[in-house]
Amino acid sequence: MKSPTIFLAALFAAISATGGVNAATAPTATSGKFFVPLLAGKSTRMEGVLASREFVFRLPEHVRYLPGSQFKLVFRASPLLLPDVSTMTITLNDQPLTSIRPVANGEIQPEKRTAAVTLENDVLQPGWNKLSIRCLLVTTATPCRDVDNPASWVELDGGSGFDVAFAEQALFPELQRFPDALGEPQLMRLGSKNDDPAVSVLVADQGGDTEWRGVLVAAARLGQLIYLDDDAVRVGSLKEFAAKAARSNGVIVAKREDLAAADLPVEFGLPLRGLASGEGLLGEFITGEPAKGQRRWIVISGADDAGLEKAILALGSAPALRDASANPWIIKEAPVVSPVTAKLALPTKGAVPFDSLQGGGIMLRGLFRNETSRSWPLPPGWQTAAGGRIALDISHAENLDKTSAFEVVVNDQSIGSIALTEANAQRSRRVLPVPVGLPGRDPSSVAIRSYLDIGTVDCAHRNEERAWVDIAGSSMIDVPAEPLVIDDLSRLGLLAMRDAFLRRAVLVFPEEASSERNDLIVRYALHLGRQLSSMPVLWPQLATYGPDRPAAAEIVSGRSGLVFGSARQWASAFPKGTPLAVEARGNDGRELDLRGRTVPMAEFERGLVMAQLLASPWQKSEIFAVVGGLTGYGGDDAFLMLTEPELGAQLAGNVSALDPEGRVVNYDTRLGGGDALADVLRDTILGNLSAEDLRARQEEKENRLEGASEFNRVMVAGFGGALAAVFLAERLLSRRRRINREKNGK
Amino acid sequence: MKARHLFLIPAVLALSPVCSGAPDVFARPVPAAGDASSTLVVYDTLAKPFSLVNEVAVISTLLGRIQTRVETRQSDAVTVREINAADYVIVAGVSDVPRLGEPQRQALAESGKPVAYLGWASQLALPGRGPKPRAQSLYDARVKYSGRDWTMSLDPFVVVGAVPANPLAEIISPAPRRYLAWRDGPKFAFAALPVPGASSLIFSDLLLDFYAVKQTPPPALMYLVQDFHPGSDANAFRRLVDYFAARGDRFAVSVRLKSPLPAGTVPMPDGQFFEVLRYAQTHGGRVVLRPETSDVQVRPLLDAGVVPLACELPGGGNRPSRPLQGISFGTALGKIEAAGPKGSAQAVTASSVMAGEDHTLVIPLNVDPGAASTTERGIAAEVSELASLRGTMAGVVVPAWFPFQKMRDTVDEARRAGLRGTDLSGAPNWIKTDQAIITGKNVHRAFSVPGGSSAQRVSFDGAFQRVGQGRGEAAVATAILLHQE
Repeated sequence: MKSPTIFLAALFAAISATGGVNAATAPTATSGKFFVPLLAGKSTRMEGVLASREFVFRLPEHVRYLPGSQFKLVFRASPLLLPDVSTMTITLNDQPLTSIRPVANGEIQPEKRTAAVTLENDVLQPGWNKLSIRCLLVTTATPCRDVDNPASWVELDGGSGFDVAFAEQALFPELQRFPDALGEPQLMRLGSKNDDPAVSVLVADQGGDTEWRGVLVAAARLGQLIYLDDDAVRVGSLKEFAAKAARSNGVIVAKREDLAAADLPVEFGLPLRGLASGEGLLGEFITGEPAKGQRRWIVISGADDAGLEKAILALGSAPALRDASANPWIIKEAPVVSPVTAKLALPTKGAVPFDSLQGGGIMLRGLFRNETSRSWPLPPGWQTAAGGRIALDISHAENLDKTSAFEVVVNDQSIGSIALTEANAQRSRRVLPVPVGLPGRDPSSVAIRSYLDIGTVDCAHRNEERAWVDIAGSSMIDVPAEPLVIDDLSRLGLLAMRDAFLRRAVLVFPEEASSERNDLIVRYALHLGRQLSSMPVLWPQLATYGPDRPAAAEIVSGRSGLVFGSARQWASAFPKGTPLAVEARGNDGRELDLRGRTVPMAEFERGLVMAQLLASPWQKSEIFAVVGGLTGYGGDDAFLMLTEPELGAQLAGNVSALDPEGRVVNYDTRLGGGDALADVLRDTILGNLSAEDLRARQEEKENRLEGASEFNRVMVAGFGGALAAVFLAERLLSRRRRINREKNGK
Repeated sequence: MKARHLFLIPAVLALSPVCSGAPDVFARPVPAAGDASSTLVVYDTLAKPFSLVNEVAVISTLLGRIQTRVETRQSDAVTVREINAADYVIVAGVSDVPRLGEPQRQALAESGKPVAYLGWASQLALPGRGPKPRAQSLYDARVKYSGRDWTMSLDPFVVVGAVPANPLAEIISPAPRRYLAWRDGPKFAFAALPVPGASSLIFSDLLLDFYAVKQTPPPALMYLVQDFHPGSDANAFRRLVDYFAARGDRFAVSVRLKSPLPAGTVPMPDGQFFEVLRYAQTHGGRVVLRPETSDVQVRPLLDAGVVPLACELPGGGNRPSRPLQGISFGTALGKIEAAGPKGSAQAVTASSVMAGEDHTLVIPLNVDPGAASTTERGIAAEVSELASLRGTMAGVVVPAWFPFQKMRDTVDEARRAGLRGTDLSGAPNWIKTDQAIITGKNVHRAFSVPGGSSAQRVSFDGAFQRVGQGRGEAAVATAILLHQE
């Protein structure tokens, strides 16, 4: 397999709202076609003589696939390709689909062409499907050598994809298949605009912390699907159930007494009435008729807060759902995390052989570029500790050219390359150190990227047997792990993920419900779910606060998390006396207190967003970050601070500010001296510096600080050494004097 | 051997309203002469001159649908006393009209007891001694029976003279119209031999009239998800379980703990395998042991809270050398087969629960998408045919290796007859191994175990717990593990 870059087409297309060309079939249709785009963006380019790529896409499991589906590849190719030799071969689920010549004779300008293939029945499968495109892009009649020849290219257009013929089938409750069963209609409308969300989350208007925790957990689990974008899940009032019931799948979160607002099926009536105190109910029902389009709804309820909590935890736990004994399911005991499940949130102790990983050892075959990876257990909430190493037992074909090598990449960070020479052709072990502090992921991965060259060959022939590198299953990943260290805002995005099951995560929101707040809850929960897509349990917590009512200690204690809200609200979230670097003061919070200096809020850019990190006032060792705007939640900028890795990497210290121009200012109140926070903000934000200037200035400052601290270290060491020398000399002299005295005394 | 000790493990098995009337469908009909009655089968020869099919074994096997003791005698050897002693007599002419002595003929004619004449013997059902009948081979003949048309092959179809009697089944194509089965008082005639296919179904249905059965169970449907093992697709199976549960259908699933895995596949861990089976149990699934299972493999199932209620019989070409080693059972599901020559087995089309060896009950797997006849005629057609007859049981095989959509299609096809999946827990659900006894409420056998010898004592002695009750379920079986310390 050549350059097997795996593209989650579904994911990309979900992110890109413009990728699709066909609208999904109307929800009421019993049969029709939907379009699955192959690409996220408008186009992608495949380069190299032996360019190849794999695309992975997912199809929903609730419909029947009919004959008549079609694959369409829209592409254009370099006009310099030799028409009689260059080919593109396409396979779907390892079955050959077609081979085509990318260029026609006499073509001078690259023209967009479309190849359409009608698929045989049963080629497309519910669930994951894999499309492979392998190219031979030859520009000269001489044997191929120039792999990076820029003239060897094919560009795939965004219109490429599958027209999938399907028929609706009668739905049936499948509680244990949550969240897949709820979200999969979205797979039928990727890349198309839709007014209705794929999933509605409805909550009782009277809902308090518990109900909103239900929304948080449900949305986080839905986020695990990855292909559900922010617009695909919307939160609303339970009163909207009648209007939404036939238009989208959904989740209802409400206590028993509030469920009167929804017209639930009769089979839910008796179990609901029979709920005893502390009992929860989780059930799924189907609305509508098969011929007119059906929708799937899940009810999370309980006799009281305690019961509702149990139902929420059950929904947040895939193992619990897999044990659901009935539908609706009465939950008397809160589900627990079994020791077997708990291991998934922990790193493995000791060395892990490749053989024990899914896929085992790695054999990369074929000319030029290859890549593959293995997942290994370093979950979120952990980071690499000192002494980590990867020991690779390698061997390779003896005839490789000296340019051959492979690179090892851990969680997207290159940790080293190994040249493939005659000396290490036979089985030998090479050890690469793993840097300290790499955060764990779901899943963490070790990728091997190889470049294998055997000199001048005819690329049109199979060379797999002549160019290979083998990384044996006895190779070891021996990386000790330690709990994730968060000591500045550069890891703001990881703050809620100190535990891979989100059991240590709490999101703190103002109690006053608003569409902005509610959307933010769902949006951030979806984001968290996407980062933890394979975790079987997601149990984040949610607390609210109001004026003179900090977040409930019993909820936030023992957890780290994020406080959302405007600058005027931040202080209210914490117990009185909690020191904040930035907080609102004065008349109606119209002034901002910046470490003792009060500045009128009107002096700041209105769209300024700030984040500050502080130790939890409820429990030592836990951390909180406050994120928000001066007057509101901070909109997209606040969200990006939490979710965008590139932006997150620019944050530092324990106070960061981001203005609408994208300028980031960092400050660390823990470092004494220097400019005051107010001055830094004023100088940079109001100083009309561009984002680049600011970054350069910040780097310069960091370098200066680094230089200063180095100087300080040298000075301290020098003075220390001198003092020690003086002390020792003094001790030696006094000893000698004493000895002399004793001698003279005698 | 030290004294054995009883250990109880609770079995969690769901009950449903469907289950309330379930025992009826597992009862074999009782003849008018009672369940201690006997049937004498008199035959001319076991097989046709150039055939390896033991026709008499097929007939005897089909009689297993009725609660009667079957004895066979060749016509040359049968005595008047034996005829008089039998409550019912079936005279089968396999290759010719059976040669019966005059006393035997008189005994048959004058006894007034029900006598059925099959194949060449159907001529004996006519008054007087007519000319020797002739035989025809009819392929894809259309037969009218019980208000609907049936397509079947009849070889031989014995053409007899005019039938002055009450016709029961009539050949309407090819012309001319002729009687396949008729009745003249206590005399019944079936002018063919029951061969696999619709002729066996009609013959089995006629037996209810022949034995003057007063109570027949309603037609029933039993789904068997066949051969679920650790290499199977657990997610597809879970979906199927949900599908059955959503439609109120009960089902059985035959399991084995070891799997021959295709290259590249990884078996699910034992814990996950048992978890899936427990999920099936709580949603109306009943676990059945595959024929490859041995007694030592029952223990891990019980330890994991999975309680098998029946066994699956070996069938087809893939037979384990020692099926169900060390396991005895009350109910089995499988293809019904008759003994053939040299120990071979020959397929029999059964339409209802049948008698098995050692007083066991066998639920026929007579609708199988893997079988040629089902592939040709369709699941819906076969189930519908069965449902149109009295007291039938359609045993529908749902191969666990099918993708979910195909499994669902199989179920949907079967459901078109309007029958719902029956609960296997209503059948005699005991299984015994050297290490364990599993008893149910429908136990028909007493076991000899330390501390008691009756089924009642086995079931409720010691610290019996009904763990399922706390979850709104009732236990229908108890697993008792026996082991040595």
